[in-house]
Amino acid sequence: MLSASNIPLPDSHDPSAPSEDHPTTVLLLPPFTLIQNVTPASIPSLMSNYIGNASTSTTILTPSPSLSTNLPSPEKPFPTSPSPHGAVILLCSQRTRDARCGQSAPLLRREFERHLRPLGLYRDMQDTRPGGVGIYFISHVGGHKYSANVMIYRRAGFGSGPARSRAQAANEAANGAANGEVKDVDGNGNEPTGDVGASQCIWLARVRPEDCEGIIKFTVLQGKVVKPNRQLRGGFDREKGLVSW
Amino acid sequence: MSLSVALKKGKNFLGRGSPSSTKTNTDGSVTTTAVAPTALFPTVNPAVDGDDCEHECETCEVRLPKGWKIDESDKLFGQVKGWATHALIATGKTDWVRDVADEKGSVMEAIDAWEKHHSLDNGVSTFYNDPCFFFAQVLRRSSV
Repeated sequence: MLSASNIPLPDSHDPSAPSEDHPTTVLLLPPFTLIQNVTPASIPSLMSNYIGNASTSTTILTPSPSLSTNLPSPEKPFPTSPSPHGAVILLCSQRTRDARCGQSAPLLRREFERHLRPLGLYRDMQDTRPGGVGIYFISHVGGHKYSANVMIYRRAGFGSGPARSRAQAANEAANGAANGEVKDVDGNGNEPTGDVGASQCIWLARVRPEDCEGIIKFTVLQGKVVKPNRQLRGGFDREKGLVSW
Repeated sequence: MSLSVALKKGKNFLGRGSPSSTKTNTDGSVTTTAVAPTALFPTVNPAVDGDDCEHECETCEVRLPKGWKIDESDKLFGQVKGWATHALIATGKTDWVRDVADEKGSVMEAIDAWEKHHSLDNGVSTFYNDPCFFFAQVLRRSSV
């Protein structure tokens, strides 16, 4: 899936340069990897060497081999780094497709922020502290007649979801981690085995501001859905090997 | 997109598989289609999550615009096409031209152009998840 987003352009952005030369950043999900230095001319390389080899919605929870280094090299022109977030909330904001998306996205973001702040999990665009929740506006994903659409990607091990193993919980308790700090244990309490990215994407629709509290408390933090029959459009769970399609 | 690629994508869309299909992936993992909205993710349960887990927020002061109207009756679950990866392109903006692939000089435009002639090996390579958009693209390209 391809979305334009309100993730800020890199500081190196020079507005006077031709737009084709502007490098930008891509956040690739489910790997939860930031890929830098992406230009239109570099797309064939990005698609074949990175996106084509990355973990997907159905691949088992192992790190993406193509994204496992953040060192640039002639064969790997794109510096990569893990996104600091434990989860991301994506809100369609594209007014040119439907006024309802343009209207609802800022309202929902305000409510999500209000419920994330007391938990220490709210992250604005400049906040790179690990383990929090980023909220991004994205372009049309379909289904604007069911506005508002909300997509939630949760890192493996984030929050207190039922899929976390007891070993993960014990490891986090031992390290004093709290409030969704990301740990990369492999489920058996062993040493970190690498960044496996998102284990779930939960795609909701018909979301209203009064739903935001429950979505933070249960869906973002625990991977549970409050109104599945009314609001769940679909998604995937790589830990359970389930998809909605 | 060549006609054969377009037809293959259309066939993939229309023939999404039986409701409870299981598929073995190239990495040896097995993927099962959840047939009901309660089969994919756990649902909140008052016995576990507290009596107010199904209640809406009472301190919410934000309101949707007056006259807010959406479809309230369609069955939602299982209607979205599958996707393999999701790429978010940083643009620094919150609104774009109607079709983001028409943003001149953008990475979205370049990816769309690449997709016309290529497909990825790692499974479903749909980018735009709106079936109406997909078919509009097929009709547009086949008439060129």
